[in-house]
Amino acid sequence: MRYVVIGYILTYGTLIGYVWLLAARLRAANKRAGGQA
Amino acid sequence: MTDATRRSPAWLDVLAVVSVVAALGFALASPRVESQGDAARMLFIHVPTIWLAYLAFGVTFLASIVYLATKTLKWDLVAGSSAELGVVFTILAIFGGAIWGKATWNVYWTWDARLTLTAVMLFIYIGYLALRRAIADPEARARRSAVLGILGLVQLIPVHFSVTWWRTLHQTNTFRPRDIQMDGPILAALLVSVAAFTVVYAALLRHRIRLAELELAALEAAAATDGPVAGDAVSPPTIGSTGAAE
Repeated sequence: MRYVVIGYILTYGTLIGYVWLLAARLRAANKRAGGQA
Repeated sequence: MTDATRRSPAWLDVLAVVSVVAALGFALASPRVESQGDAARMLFIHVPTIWLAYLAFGVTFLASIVYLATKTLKWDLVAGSSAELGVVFTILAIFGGAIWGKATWNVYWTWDARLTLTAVMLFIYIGYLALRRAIADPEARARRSAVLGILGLVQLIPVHFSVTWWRTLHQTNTFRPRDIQMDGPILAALLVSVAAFTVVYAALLRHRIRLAELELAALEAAAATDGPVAGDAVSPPTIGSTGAAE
């Protein structure tokens, strides 16, 4: 069970991390686009 | 892409979250597999992640073909965005598989055909992403990466069939539509997980394409300004020139 818990935390944790990173990149790009307009 | 599609489908994000919660519920509620114990629950994240990697690279392949046929930059953005997601899902599949391997084989990694070819596939698409970052001109980047996006898929065939072509430690393909040997609850949990991860991919792809559009717009806006750019200060050499003394 220990490996399953680690596997699920790693998978969903990485996905959440990627979502957070993508959101940050989108925010920065939107800010740049707003600044140019 | 219209303004409406850029802004509206928050429902897709909500659906992604709801389907992931449902997938987790099904995975935890599925019966224990006698031969592997709880380690078999890794099935519900390992299979969907590698399926999504295949799907993402397949989308890159198709979008690359459409780009070369139409020369519409939007398709290049789709190809690049999907490849990035494919890399993320391949990493998840490799790490998830490693943990499952430790639980069942007692090793995280072995130079098995499936594992090795999956790692090679990962490096090919990391190279694809590196190529995209190395070329500033959007047209040249789209053209060259489309070629790699098409060639990259060739590698996917031996990855998938490696477990049938060679005798490997990795088990044969888990899901065979013509020969399903799973119990109903386990199959249901697997299908729900695959569907949930597919919705997550669709939601992430939409946002990643939006980011690519914004980056392209910023690049085009910078190119449209008349300010000096890198390389302008360097004048081309002329034959017979002695340089500054002239």
